[in-house]
Amino acid sequence: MARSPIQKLKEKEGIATLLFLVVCTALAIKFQPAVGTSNQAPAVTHAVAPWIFGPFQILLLYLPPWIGALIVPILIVAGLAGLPWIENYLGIKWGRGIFTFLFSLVVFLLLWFMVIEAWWN
Amino acid sequence: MARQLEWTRRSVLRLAWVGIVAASALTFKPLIQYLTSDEDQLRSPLVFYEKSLAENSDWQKASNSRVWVRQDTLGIMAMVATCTHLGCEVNYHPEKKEWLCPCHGSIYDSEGRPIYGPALKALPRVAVNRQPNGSLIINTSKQVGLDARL
Amino acid sequence: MKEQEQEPEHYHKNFVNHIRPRYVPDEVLSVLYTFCLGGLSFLAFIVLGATGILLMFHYLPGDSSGFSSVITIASVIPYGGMIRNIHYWAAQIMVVTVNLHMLRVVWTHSYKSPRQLNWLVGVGLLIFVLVLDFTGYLLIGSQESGAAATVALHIVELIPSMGMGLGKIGLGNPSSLSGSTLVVYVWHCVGLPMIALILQLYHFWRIRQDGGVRPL
Repeated sequence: MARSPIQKLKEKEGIATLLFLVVCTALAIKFQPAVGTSNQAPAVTHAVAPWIFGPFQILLLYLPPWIGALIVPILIVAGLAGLPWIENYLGIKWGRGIFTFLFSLVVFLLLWFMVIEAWWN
Repeated sequence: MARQLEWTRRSVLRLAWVGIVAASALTFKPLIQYLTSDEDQLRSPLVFYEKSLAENSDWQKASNSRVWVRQDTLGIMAMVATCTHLGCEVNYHPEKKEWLCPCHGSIYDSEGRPIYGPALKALPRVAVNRQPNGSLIINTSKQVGLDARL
Repeated sequence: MKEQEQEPEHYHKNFVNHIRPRYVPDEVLSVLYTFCLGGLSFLAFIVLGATGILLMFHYLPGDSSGFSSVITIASVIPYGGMIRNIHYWAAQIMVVTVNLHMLRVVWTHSYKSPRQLNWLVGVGLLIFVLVLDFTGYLLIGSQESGAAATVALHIVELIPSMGMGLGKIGLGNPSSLSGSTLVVYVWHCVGLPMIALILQLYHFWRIRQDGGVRPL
């Protein structure tokens, strides 16, 4: 197998680092993140979760809290963490299937959340 | 001949290791007690409402708390505006005579009974008493029924 | 070939070289193989640490002080807004790159034996990143963060028998109007990042232990 000195990898990493810092700074200059509503102000009628927790928000809307906030996330994490062992016992197809299902479930809930928020605004 | 206990380097190190593990295990309960203590954040369950309350008024908020009071023909009642779903503070909308939860959209009617959304239980009513000077004192740790009045 | 493989003079003086291989397979050098996602996540973590320490100089956790100090940082203190914005965006980018990194690892089958342990460490790190993001959101101290803290507290308290204690240790006593408590501050700035950093270093060390980044 052809191989190269680590120096080659370092050069690529340097380029990636510069790109990352530029993108990060550009975002920081261009887009001001929201700070939310002061607690001295009148109460808000609609508190939005940060987008990262959108899937959670959807689960809590439609499921009892102990299922939506405890059982489902625990199952998702268990499914992710157990992936290598699931493949050992059930085969690659099952492992792939379960991972794809879990990941697309989270993405689906996230999209659902975003649609609701867009509709609300 | 009885075998003599030998204090080799290995046995001493093992003893020290067991000692460290045992000592750390002993710190578990004190640590939990230390971390869960809220002695430095005393919160009284008592809330005062000092303004005058008109008969048949709508819900009025006691300042710096989640407590709301109202007087109807039967007497005075107090309610804690904490959503029974996951504890967000619900807001009263007098024009709709409804309580709305900002977090997951639960709606309660003016009496605090859930009519929409994930909340299943009514907003909690708490005990009210009148002080000698006429102001109201509300004990949020003492729950009462929906029809309790002062 | 022989000449190319000769080590440069300075090689042994560099500590970073100590934890990395001297040579990497050419396929790994292809950006299209790893997309640098793990490395970018670590870089985001470093940026977050640096900007986070800077923010600590002006941030005051607390029911009423949290939000006002964030406003002060964002609008009054020179470059405070810039530092806060970078902290925010690096965090958003990190959540995205960490997830894409996970997708890449699954795509290239890199979670399989003998790398199961590192996969577990990675899943743990994913959870740490999410919790760090959440506690950071609470520290803004806005009304929304108070609602989020209240919801989180109620969820943690659903855990049988130890829920109340866990809630108090993890979140303190957040009010419904501000999630910024001293407890959350300590976890966000010291506890969680420290554990996450140790886990990350272990994660990187294990990559080499498990045979390095190998192409398909």
